[in-house]
Amino acid sequence: MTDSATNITDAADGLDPMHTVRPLTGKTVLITGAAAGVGRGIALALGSAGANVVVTARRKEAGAEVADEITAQGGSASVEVCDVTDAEQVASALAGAVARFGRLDAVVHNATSRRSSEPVDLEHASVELWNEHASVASVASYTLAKAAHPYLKETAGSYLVLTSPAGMQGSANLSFYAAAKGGQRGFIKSLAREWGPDGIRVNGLAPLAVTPALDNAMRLDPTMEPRITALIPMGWIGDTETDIGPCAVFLCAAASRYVTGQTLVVSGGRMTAL
Amino acid sequence: MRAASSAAAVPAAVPAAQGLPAVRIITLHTCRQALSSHGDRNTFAGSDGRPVRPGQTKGAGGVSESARQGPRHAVVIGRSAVAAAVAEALRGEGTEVVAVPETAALGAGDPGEAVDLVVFAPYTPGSVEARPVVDLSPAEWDRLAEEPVRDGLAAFQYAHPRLKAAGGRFVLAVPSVAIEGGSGLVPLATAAEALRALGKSAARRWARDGVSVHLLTPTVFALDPAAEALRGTDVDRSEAALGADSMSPEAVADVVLLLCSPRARHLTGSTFALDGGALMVP
Repeated sequence: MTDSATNITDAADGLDPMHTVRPLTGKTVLITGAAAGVGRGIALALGSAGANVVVTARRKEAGAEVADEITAQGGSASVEVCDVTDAEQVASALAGAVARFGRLDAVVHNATSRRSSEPVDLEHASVELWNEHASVASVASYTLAKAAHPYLKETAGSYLVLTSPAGMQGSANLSFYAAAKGGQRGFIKSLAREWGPDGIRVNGLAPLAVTPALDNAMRLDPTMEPRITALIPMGWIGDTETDIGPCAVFLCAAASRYVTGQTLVVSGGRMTAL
Repeated sequence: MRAASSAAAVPAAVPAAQGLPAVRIITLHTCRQALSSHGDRNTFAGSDGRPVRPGQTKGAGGVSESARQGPRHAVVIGRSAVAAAVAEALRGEGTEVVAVPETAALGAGDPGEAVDLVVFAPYTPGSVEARPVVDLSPAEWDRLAEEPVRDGLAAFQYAHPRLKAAGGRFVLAVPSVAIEGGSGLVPLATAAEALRALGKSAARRWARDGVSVHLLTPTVFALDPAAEALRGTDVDRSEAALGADSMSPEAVADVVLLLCSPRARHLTGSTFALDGGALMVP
């Protein structure tokens, strides 16, 4: 029986056999692009769930701020410098995580291109711009998968990739972002089938949340927030830590041990067509 | 017959580009037969040569005169058996077809005039050979997962001004295995889903120009005979309701012709799973 299976079936600890309160106690999770936005929110939620959180960012100082937040809340965290477009840095970050905490149970690939939110003129946009998107999305998903596989196989772990409703529905203005996220959904489903026999689960998470960029845009345009929330049945735009984070925790934890190849859309009901 | 299989057939105006032969077949005649075999003999009966645009005024018969046109000039891009079958089917219906293995090969083979239809049906040799991700080098990943998307982007960008002028259609054909997932086929699936999302984005943008985008997902076995090695694996959807014959490249070509009908003008951005009725979702 796998380690994950043991966690969910072992009733020896009586009061909380499924570790519902801190479901990642004793587990180590590495997250990319964790210095801000959705990545930061997920990192904080992982810390609250008991995980040893390996916060990765391109700048160590930025990652350290998030790690400090986690430890200030009583959690466990470390920082690794990692530009996901650099295979050597990816390998080094993963090795550093295992060296520090002795194991790796989950990888959350949250990083996305800095140019993700830029409108794209599909008819004339350069292939270099597309390559920038792809380098952080599909290429980095591959790089992380290849490097993390031995560690995740050892723990029967989880690989979680952040995608987007845009990847399912397309986007008139963010066509490259949509394509990058759509590609990651194809990646997720096929890799889930490939890694199932190794006991590794592969899933996607498609959030709708307030990021620093969106927050700034809403400050500049007061009409934006009501226009967005009007389309969300739950009536608010998700919080990265309290709305998105717990879903990432679930997909990293043993409670989702029978879930693989799926994309969980966390959008307050904004997107229900999947 | 494979697309671009005969360099001898290339007219002087369409030289082989980058060592990749291009074929231009010029056989202009009425396309009436095209839809007579699909139960709509009026659709291709017009002769004014004007493109079809969504929302055009209908004539007394319910289809405008200008709408009674099949594609007159088509460009088919891709090495897949689907691309070959589509090119052959279009030629059989009297469409002037330029068929090339990749967008860059168009070069001087570009028809240089309004194109009604662009079909992008890629196949990368080796992409249907099941291989674990951990065994793929970065260069192999790039060739199998990234290069098809770059070529697809070039195809979309090539198509837009031409189709905008003609109010035409773009058809993308990528394997259905990308929707379901297939062990050992991660790069193929990644490229296919990126292209499909790009196609949906194009559909949203190009509707204002009267250009529709159709997304076809044929079974992986229609891509290339090499896919036969996948028989018996998890991507072998043997439960297809219509049986194996319904999943041939020629079956895909039938659907492309169907989508060329002006009666399909209300469609854009939709995905048509051509898997013989295996998946049946959503």
